[in-house]
Amino acid sequence: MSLPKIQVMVVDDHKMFVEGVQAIFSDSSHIQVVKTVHDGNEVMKSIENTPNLDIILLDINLPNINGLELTKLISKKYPAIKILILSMYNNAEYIKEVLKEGASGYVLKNTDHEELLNAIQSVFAGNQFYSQSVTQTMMNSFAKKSQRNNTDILQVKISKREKEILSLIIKEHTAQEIANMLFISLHTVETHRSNLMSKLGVRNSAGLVRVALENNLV
Amino acid sequence: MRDKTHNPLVDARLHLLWIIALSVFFFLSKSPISIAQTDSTKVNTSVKNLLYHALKEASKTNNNELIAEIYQRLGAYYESESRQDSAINFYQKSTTLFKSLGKELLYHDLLVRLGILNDQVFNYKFAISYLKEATSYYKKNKMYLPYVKAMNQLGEVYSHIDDDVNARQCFIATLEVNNNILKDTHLIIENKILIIQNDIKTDNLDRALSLAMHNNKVAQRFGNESMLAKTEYQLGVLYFKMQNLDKAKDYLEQAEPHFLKNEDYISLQSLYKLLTQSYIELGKKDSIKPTLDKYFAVVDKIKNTEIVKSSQEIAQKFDSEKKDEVIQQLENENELKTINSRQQKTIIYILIFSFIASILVVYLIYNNYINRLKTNQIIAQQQSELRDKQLKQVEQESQIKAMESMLMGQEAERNRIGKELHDSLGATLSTIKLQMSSSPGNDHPEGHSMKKAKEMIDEACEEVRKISRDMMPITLTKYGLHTALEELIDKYNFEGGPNVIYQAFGIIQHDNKDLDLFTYRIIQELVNNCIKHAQAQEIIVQINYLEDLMIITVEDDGNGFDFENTQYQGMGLKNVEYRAQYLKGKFSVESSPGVGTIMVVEIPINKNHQPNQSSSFA
Repeated sequence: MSLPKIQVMVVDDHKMFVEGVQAIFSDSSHIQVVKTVHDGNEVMKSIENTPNLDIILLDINLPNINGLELTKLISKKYPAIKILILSMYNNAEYIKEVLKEGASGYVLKNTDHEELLNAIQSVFAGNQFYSQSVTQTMMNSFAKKSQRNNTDILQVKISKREKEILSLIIKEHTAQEIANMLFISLHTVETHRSNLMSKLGVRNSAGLVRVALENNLV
Repeated sequence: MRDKTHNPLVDARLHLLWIIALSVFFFLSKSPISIAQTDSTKVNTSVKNLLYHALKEASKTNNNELIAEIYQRLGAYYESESRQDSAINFYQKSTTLFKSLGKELLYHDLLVRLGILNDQVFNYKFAISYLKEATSYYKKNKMYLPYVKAMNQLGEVYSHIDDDVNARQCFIATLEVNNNILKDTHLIIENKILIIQNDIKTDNLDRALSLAMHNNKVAQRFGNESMLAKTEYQLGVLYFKMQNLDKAKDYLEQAEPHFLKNEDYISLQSLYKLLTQSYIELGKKDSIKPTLDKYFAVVDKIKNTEIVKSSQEIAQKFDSEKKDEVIQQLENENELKTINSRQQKTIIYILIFSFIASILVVYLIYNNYINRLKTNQIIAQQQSELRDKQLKQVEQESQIKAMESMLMGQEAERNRIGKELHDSLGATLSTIKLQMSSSPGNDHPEGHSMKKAKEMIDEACEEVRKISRDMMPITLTKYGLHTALEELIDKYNFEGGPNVIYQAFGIIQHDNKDLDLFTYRIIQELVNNCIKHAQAQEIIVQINYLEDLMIITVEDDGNGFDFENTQYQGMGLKNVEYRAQYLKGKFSVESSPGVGTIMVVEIPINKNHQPNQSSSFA
């Protein structure tokens, strides 16, 4: 083998897991685990003491300094070292944050040998790598985001019951009448109505009627 | 948040008010001058106030006819107060409404009033156009009496602008109708007086004289004193103009006692003036002085009346500043009673009046009685409620203390378990999987069961992740309630089952960590509950922040349940109730089979006490 091995550091407070990772790469021809760290506090010092480090496998949930903080510190101080997050959390906000701070990939801990190998190699080659379910989580979150930013009234979901109440308000029924007609309490009618008003951005029943009619909501 | 509803009681009250206003008005317009002036002014003001009040009430309804009628009454009121501008204004409003309502007759009658008033304020152009419209309407509909009156009025307006030709035409047209159709002697005499006036003005003195003589004869035969006086006076004027002073003097002297009897001071004023001039020119020195004295006496009398009238107006203006007070007084019927007692001369009016007053009294007493009954009830209710409330509050406070430690304990325990699961069990499972995937047995015939085992470990990992997330919502502490809820809802949707939608409106930032945590827990419980029991297609979760209130609603379109009659209150909903109570909020469920369920939690935001943070969340 003429190629030098990829130098990897594993940061995880769960010793058994670290040993597992070490074990599967112990006879690898491409990858070498050169250092393992269990405490967030020791990470920066260890990097300093480990020359030629290529990749850090970094857990998020760590004692003292967590993975999110560490990602920020490392990518600032050692931009050449690639960071691959290896975490239990499949959580859109975490994923977004670490990627923003400079991590190159995100792999869930229930990964297998093959995936982990792929991840390390593609991150080393300068690409980004995410587990499939991480990709899924991020896609969902982006879809959600674009939906949330849409302030169009037509995008607001109005429940069946709210629609019923809206149409009765348009027909000029009083709250008490509506309550009687739908067999619900007056209070609930008022709740629905104030929800509707917030939802459609109006301040009174007249506004409700106007917006409802303008947008064909009922 | 209350709707303005159409209340039959309001209508009834309105009508009653209306009746009172009308009656008082009627009473006033017919009442003799003997009412003490101040009282009359007060009542006048009250009429106005009542009318305005009636107008206000009527405007709330859409009863245009009633509104038009009130406008008309207001116009009439101002007319009676000689405030022509206001009268014209209200009459105009009224005509517009009557016209749109298709009340032709009322409309045209009002046009006549408008004509007269505009004439008085020198708006002759308007006066003419109003009166023309009215006369042509009356003529078309063969309404001769109003036609005659309006036509004469029109003629008078024409004379005021010295358009004597048109004026004469009007009077002649009236005379035709009078002679041929109405045949009312009184009207005919009056009509002829107008024509004679017109002739005198245009110097057609001969024609005037023959008509005046004739007219005087008719009046004599007819025996009406005021008519007789007028015709005699007119003859006097005519002879004076013809310089036949003796005859002028005779007729004027004849007319004098008749005018006196009718208390027609205005006419007397001109009569004495003319008579004095006649005496002077005839050289009857003895008669000059007494006639002049009489003239000044009459002028004084007229002036006095004017002074009284203007002082009345001033008093009324002063009173209108105390408008509300007077309304109050009138409604308390004391006012009406005092006036009533002074009305001793005219028993019939007292009777009418006391009848109205008694209706008012009965109504007010009844109203008062009902109100007092209600008030008492409310007070009693409030008192017992207050007592209950106080008791409850004491109970609640101790409950809240207990609840606080329970909830905080629960939270801490969940946190611990979540962390434990996540950190040790999760990591262990991950390690096992990693080891298996790297074992050489991968291509072994046993590979199939190996693969199966790996899948099972994946499932176990996922399960651990889920449980720990439920136990310890890290997104919540780090990224806030709404991100955490979005994530929670996403997971629900990802797992299949009903479609869950989450919406938040008017988000208010606050520092109460407990509020966010418990809100999250509440929604978690409620949605779990729906998923488990409701068999819904869709669940809608909403948080609506009002000024000082947060409303959480969870709606589903599932099969619903009978909340009262089932032992549905499992641990989940009980927990929601505890948390809501702890946050001083309310939790309610409304469900009926087949319709779906709506669960509402309302939590006050500002009033929320900051629970002590001693309980740790390690």
